[in-house]
Amino acid sequence: MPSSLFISSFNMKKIGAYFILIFSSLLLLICYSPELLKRTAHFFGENGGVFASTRYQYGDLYGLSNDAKFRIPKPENTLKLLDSFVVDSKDLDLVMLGDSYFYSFFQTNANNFERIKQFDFVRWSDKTNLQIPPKSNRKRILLIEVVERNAFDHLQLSFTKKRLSPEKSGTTLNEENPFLVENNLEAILFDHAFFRPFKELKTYIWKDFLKKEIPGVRYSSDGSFMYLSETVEGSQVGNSFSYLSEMEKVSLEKQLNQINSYYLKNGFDKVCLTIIPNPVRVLEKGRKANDLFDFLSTNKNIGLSFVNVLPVLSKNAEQNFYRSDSHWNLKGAEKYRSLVNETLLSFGKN
Amino acid sequence: MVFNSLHFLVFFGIVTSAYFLLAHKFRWVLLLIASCYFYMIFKPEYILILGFTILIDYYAGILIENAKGAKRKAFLSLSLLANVGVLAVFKYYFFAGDIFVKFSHLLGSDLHWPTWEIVLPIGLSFHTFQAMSYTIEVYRGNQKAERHFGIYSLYVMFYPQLVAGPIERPQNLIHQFYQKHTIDKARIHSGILQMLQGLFKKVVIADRLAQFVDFTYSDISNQSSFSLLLASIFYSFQIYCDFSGYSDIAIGASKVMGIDLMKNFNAPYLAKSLPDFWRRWHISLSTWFKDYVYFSLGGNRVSIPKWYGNILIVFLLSGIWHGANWNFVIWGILHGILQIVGLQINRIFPSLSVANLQSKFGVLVYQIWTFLLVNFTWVFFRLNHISDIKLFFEGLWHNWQLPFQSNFSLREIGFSCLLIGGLFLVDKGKLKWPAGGFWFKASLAIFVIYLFGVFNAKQFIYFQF
Repeated sequence: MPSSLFISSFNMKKIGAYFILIFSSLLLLICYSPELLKRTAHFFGENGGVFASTRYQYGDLYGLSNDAKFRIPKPENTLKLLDSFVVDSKDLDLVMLGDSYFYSFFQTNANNFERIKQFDFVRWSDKTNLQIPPKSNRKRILLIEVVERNAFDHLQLSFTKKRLSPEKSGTTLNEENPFLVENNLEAILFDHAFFRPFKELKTYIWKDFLKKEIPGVRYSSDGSFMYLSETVEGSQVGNSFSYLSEMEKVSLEKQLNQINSYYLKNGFDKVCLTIIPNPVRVLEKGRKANDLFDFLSTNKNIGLSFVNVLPVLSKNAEQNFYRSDSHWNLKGAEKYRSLVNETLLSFGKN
Repeated sequence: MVFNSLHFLVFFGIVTSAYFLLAHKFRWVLLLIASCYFYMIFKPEYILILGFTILIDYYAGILIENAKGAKRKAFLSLSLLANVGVLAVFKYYFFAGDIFVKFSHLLGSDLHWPTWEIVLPIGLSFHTFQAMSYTIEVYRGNQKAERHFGIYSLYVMFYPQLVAGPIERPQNLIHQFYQKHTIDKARIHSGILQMLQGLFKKVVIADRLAQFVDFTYSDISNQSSFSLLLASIFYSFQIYCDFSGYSDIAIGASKVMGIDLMKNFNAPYLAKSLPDFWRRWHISLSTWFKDYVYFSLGGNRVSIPKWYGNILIVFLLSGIWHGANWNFVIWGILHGILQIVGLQINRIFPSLSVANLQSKFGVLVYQIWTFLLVNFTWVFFRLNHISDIKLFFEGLWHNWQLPFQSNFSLREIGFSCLLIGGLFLVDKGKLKWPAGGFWFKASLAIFVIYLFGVFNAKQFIYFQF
């Protein structure tokens, strides 16, 4: 065999160096480019196997904790559209400003709702705003959906205006943070099924051997549910158990009234607010949560219509939420839709 | 960019592989660009301050070399003044203002000190001291002035040691940038294993202990005496593992590229006396002060009162070098006083001198005593407010009846103590890498670091200096 077919040791070293250079450069390039990152994630997602992402496969809280006891497959299907309606007429338009509680569980379609002809949806996390659609001859309702932990951040006119306003804004919201390189790298390198056993072993050592709390999550008192730690403890207002001062309540009331006035002036006939309770609020019955929902449901000074989801989600609460995810499940989503539909059916009848 | 991040891992892969693939004459360009990127990740605009220091000292070096007589001294003084000036503006301005205002209040006047928004550039004291050592060595004739501006810039900016040392001397580093380094498997393996050892110290030991220390020190008045005592001991090991871990990664990363940096730590908690401790702790800074300040003041070849004065000055400066705050001043002075007390005891009772130690038990007693003294002084280093220091010592004395509260389970406290025990064995040379090839050792280290590491990309403590 001719000796030229052999790769000398020196060349092997150089080939190794080239390989590291190309691989590392590609990694860095992907992490700096949101578009490339999306494509890479999509590529891994499509191929599955050992490269499949495990971040949301078993629920976002499993993705945070890697607790093997909570490795429960999460169905990916969304709620079926209504196949029969209480009333046949489609005499309302609905614009919804919401988050993953809606878009991960519902199809963006008017047939989720009673009486709705035209349905528009804008996410709190969208990069550009939604221009308020031209007014038809139908009445129009704005439905604001927000999860309790984000309520105080999001329910401010300056915040909602950036997402939904009469003019199309040219500015980009939620710009990519360049300092997310570390998170992006972690996702590309380690968010694969192959690493799952190692991650679960680490969690076992932390939680069961060293008796440490897993960063980002907390467990229900009976150990059967996981919660986002920020909803359970800490000083921030999104926590279900933090005391709400009078000043905070007055400020919230003021903001809600500003939101209501602004959208009534800009083509809406009614503004409805739904706050999805943090799961811990409804699941931990032995712990007294703060009075946010009581305040909103009994306060006559608030102009917009507060649709209180708390009672329906509290009933058989364990059936309405995932054990390893911070969201409700399809049953919880269904209850929400029923309640919203009750509100829509009663609109204009009082 | 912090060493304990994936970003650094990728950066290191790119820079090191490109370094070996590039022709030798272009390597300094690569390292310089890489060092700028590394530094600018923290706060891009502060590269200008670094640029200023580099420019001043580069020309100062040439001018000193070309000048004769008093002019040499004048150029050196100007260069030192510029470097100290940068430190004074960015690091000590507010501290000086605080002293000025308090002093004016004492005199009954109400003078104000103009303030503006300023953030301390990361690692400022390190690269300023490194730059100063260059002009001093050129002045002393130990180093030829570097004519290649790129190489000189790289001497100040070389990324592994840019933000937290070791503070290199020009004689050790500059000539290495001219040497051609080829891919040396044994060197690369040894460098990577040293980096892994440093990473282990940082994320498995230091960042774990930091959780206990931060929790305890965040609410000193409600902590039991035992918690406070344990926190102070844990902090001694946290700062050791944090800083020596950084040094290991810096030295290892350079070694992979064929460049040797000086040793910065040598089992400091096995020291038998305080002078011995300072020969083992942050060696590059201790020798800097010894070579450029202590000896310049006359060292110990002066009268005893002056000698003691020299010691006090050096430790006071060392304290101030660490930070513009009273706690660092006290920390430095305390070390100076303890050294002087030790020297005085040795003069009165020569039989107690470390040099006369015979038994292993005697050595152990001295090692424990030295550790306790160092541990005591770390309290002043860690707690930034005099009121907190007071609370700490009051709590240590009075709070025995309070229940022990902690964010650590007993198991984790035990585990942490086990890690500290392991660290002693490593320092004593009794615990070494397991037998096996490089890949086995590296894989094992990565696995252990992953399983037991605390990954919150916490910055290294010494970055703030």
